[in-house]
Amino acid sequence: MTTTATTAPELVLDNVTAGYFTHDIVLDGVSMRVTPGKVTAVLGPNGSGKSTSLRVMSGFLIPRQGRVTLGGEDITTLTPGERLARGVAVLPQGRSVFPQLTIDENLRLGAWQLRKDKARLEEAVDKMLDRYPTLRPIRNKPAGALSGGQARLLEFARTLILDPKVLLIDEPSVGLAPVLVDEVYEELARLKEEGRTILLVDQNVQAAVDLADYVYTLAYGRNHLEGARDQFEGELDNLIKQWLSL
Amino acid sequence: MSAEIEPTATETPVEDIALAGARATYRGKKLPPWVMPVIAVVILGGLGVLGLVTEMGMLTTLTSVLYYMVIAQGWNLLGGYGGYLNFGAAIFAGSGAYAAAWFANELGWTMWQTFLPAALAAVAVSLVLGYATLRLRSHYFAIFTIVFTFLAMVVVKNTPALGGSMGLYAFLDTQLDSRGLALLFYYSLFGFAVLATVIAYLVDHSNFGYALRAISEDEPAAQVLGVKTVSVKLWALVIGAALGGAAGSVYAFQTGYIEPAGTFSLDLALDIVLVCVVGGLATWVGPLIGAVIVVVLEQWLRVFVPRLEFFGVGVPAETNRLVLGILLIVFALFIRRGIVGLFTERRGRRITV
Repeated sequence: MTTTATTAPELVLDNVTAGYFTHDIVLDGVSMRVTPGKVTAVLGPNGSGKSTSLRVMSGFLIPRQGRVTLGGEDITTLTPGERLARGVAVLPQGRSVFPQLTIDENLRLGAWQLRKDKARLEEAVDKMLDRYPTLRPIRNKPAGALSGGQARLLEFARTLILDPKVLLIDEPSVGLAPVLVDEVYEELARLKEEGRTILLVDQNVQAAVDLADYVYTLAYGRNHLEGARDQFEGELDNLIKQWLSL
Repeated sequence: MSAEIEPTATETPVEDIALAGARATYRGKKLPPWVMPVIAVVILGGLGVLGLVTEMGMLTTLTSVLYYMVIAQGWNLLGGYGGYLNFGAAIFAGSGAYAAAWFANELGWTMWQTFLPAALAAVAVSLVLGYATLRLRSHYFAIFTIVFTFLAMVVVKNTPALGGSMGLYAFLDTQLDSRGLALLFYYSLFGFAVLATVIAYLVDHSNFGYALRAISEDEPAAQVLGVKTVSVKLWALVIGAALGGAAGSVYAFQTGYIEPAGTFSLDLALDIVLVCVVGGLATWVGPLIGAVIVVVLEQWLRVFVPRLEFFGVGVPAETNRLVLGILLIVFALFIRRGIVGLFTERRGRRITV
């Protein structure tokens, strides 16, 4: 797998205010940078705006104020599809495989933007089946037949199939059995080793900090703390206690 | 609005190893791949031959079968594959019928010449409907199609150029005898039924088809992957509308007279849903099987029910709608994937009552 670390653009959230209803602000002037080739983790208690920041980055929520830029280009109002075309891919929270489509078809949907270029599409599918060899022998089975761990791998494969420059990963371990959580973090570690640019939102604080290069924390929809991983490692217990009393 | 902004995962599936094992033994009934095409060829081939050999009464029934087949194949693209169950089939067939009658009356066009304008009229209406409503999610869309059907009826009723509530006549200037005329309509619809089935087959086996299935299963997840869901849905609606509109033009000439209430009728829309549910939603053979069963059953009930007596009281003729309604409920509850679904694994979407 070729890495795009050196060429990856920086994704920046610049002073973003956003919310779902007019009287309700979920993000209040949040700024963060997803540094190329690094893993950036966003932590915070429930309702602090982690997933909402990710929705703003991926284009599912247009902010009321502030900007989203990718390598300097303003992408604030682009749709999720247009952002994907520029290399920003999302791995959504929870199960997102299409159970009645086959594994092959699920992968092809991930490469939807290549649909007119048959040769590249086949190559991309093949590359993913090489990367996740357990999926190859069952590629024509419905994805509904997969175990939880395999389904998660398929979701990874589907997100990686376009070789995105920036990966936005939302709560990858939520709702999974502990054994599977370990598998997911192994996969994330592999992505990090490949030098991919990753934004990781997770409630699994310890695991996320272990993996991250840089950490942001949010509270009440505002930036709280930020810093390189080493600054956080000793502070985790305090941080969690603080969140519990928030 | 709230449907748009709900978080994508409202429930958190809890996976565990025991469950994973059960899932791996996904039950698969798989027919050899030639079975469905053979069924399709038998049904269409049978209809192709029957037109030449049956008597007039049966020919009328079979003409209805073909009419339903064309509209149902079109409806199935968005309603079945896309999972956007709706009650809008009559809008497109009606638009086509009115366009055909108008062109025949005002410009003296023959039936052949009206096929294209009828399809285009239905496409135009579908674009208005689609742009206005396809950002809505499933059941909101279904409700809006009912409203739009009434809206279309009211607009036509109040447009003198379309005959208002008096309706329009659509005559064919021809030397054909009544059987020849019936065969003309029959084979026109037969041609459209074959075309519609070919389109359905191609959609079923294309990127476009699995994008529609993905939309039906999890629309936000499809969006995440860069599928332009609104435009995929719009295409499905437009192709379906064109087929419905073309069928509508034959209908206009066949009945010779169309009026708003009968043309934009929810009965037709419900029948089309029933055809697809009985045959199998999101399958390209389903509408063929469903149309035969539903139309033949409906015609039989129409003849049979008035003869019935219940403790000396005649049973009202509307009973046939009651029977079809019960049939819809039975399929929706127990045979959710229709007749085709009984023999195949996966594909198709569960409908809920």
